[in-house]
Amino acid sequence: MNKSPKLTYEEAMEELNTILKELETGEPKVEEMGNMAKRASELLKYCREKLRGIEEEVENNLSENE
Amino acid sequence: MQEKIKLSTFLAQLREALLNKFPGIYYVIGEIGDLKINQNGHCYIELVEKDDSRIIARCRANVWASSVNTIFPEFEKNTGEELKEGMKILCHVQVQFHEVYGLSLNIVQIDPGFTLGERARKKKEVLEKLKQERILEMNKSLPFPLVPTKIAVISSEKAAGYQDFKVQLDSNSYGYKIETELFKAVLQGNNASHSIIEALKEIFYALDEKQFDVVAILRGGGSQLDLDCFDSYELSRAVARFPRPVITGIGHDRDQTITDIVAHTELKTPTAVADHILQLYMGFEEEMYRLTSRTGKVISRLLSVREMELNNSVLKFKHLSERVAQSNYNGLEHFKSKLQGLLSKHLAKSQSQLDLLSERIKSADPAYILNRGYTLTSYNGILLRNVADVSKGEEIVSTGKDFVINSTITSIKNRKK
Repeated sequence: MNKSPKLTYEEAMEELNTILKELETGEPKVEEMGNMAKRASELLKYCREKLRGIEEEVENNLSENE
Repeated sequence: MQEKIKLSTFLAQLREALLNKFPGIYYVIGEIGDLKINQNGHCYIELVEKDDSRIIARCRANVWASSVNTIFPEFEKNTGEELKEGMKILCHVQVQFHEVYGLSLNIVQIDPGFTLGERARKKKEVLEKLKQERILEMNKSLPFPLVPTKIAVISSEKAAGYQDFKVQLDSNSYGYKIETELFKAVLQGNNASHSIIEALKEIFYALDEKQFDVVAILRGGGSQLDLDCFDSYELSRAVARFPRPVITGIGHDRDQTITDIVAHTELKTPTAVADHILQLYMGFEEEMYRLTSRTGKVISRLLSVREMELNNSVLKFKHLSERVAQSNYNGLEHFKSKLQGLLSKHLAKSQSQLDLLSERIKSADPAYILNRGYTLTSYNGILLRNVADVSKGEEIVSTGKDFVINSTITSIKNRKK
């Protein structure tokens, strides 16, 4: 995930809730739904990694190798 | 003239008078100005009374070793506090007067109830003050982060409490990485309040750089008797006004301290604080997972609904087009038979007209008339139409089907129609 500035936990959860709301009350097109599923999955993965400091580790390793 | 008297005698008289006037046990309220226990186990206290910070009364007091062993533990058990300087106490005293050592009070009992009452009173005062300043709810009203990422910890490094806390967080079984930074402070004794406030200041100045989102004040183990500092006005005010949520885990069995009351979240021990933080991480992860899962289910359901709708539409279209084709075919057939019908009728009509005509033609044919037995009468080769054209005695010819008769007119008669 390359997002700058980095998403906070609150923002990630809010986005996920927005997607869900759009699905349940809006009328998304079939193509949109595919994107939504993908984005939801991305958000979950991002948060899980962030909780475990994984992104940081990766970044640290990269900067060490420079 | 007054009698001359030796000092010892005078003091002995004084002593007797004093003890006669104050023979029993008296309940005296005083503040511990100084407290020492010597190697024999006897306790020497300086009792004072202050008006603000000015001493307006002072007296030496003592507790004999034997009493120390009963009074002190009893007091600590009942109040949860240790006897120390600055503490106001209600003591049961006996007057002592010694010619050499002078006046002193022998303390035979110290009333825990009074101290508890005093403490409650002081706490109430502090709470009132904080309430008036409208800061009682200030820290509590700060938004607590969904997931606290950087925690500033105020604790004594050596204390087991902090070590346990750190181990719990660093080696949690979920793999969560939780950043903490220790700001050392003394958490018991007379200097505790000031020390913790200094730590809070340090954290405050580091907020921009380090981005702490939560502060935890941890005190583990240690004496249960030294929690006064957490009731102090200065410390609780500092915590109430701190711009980040404060969690306390100061490990006490006693009633809530004021710092606990003003802090955003109060927990029992450093371990409980670590648990709480881990719970937040877990809860967040579970919620994210649940939302994502639900998103997938909703999409799945919506897609199958769409698919069903699509299939229905296709089916409907198929039926409709079949019906149209069918009705077109039927229409055509209908038209065809109608047309045929019309044609037949028309033909029949024409046929009958033709027949009629044919009949007419046939009946106009002389042969047809002759066949029926009629004869054609002619004279001089011309058909006889007018009877005036002939007269009696003339020759007429009658032509029949297959004969010709020559005749002579014998008579003519007119026939009336």
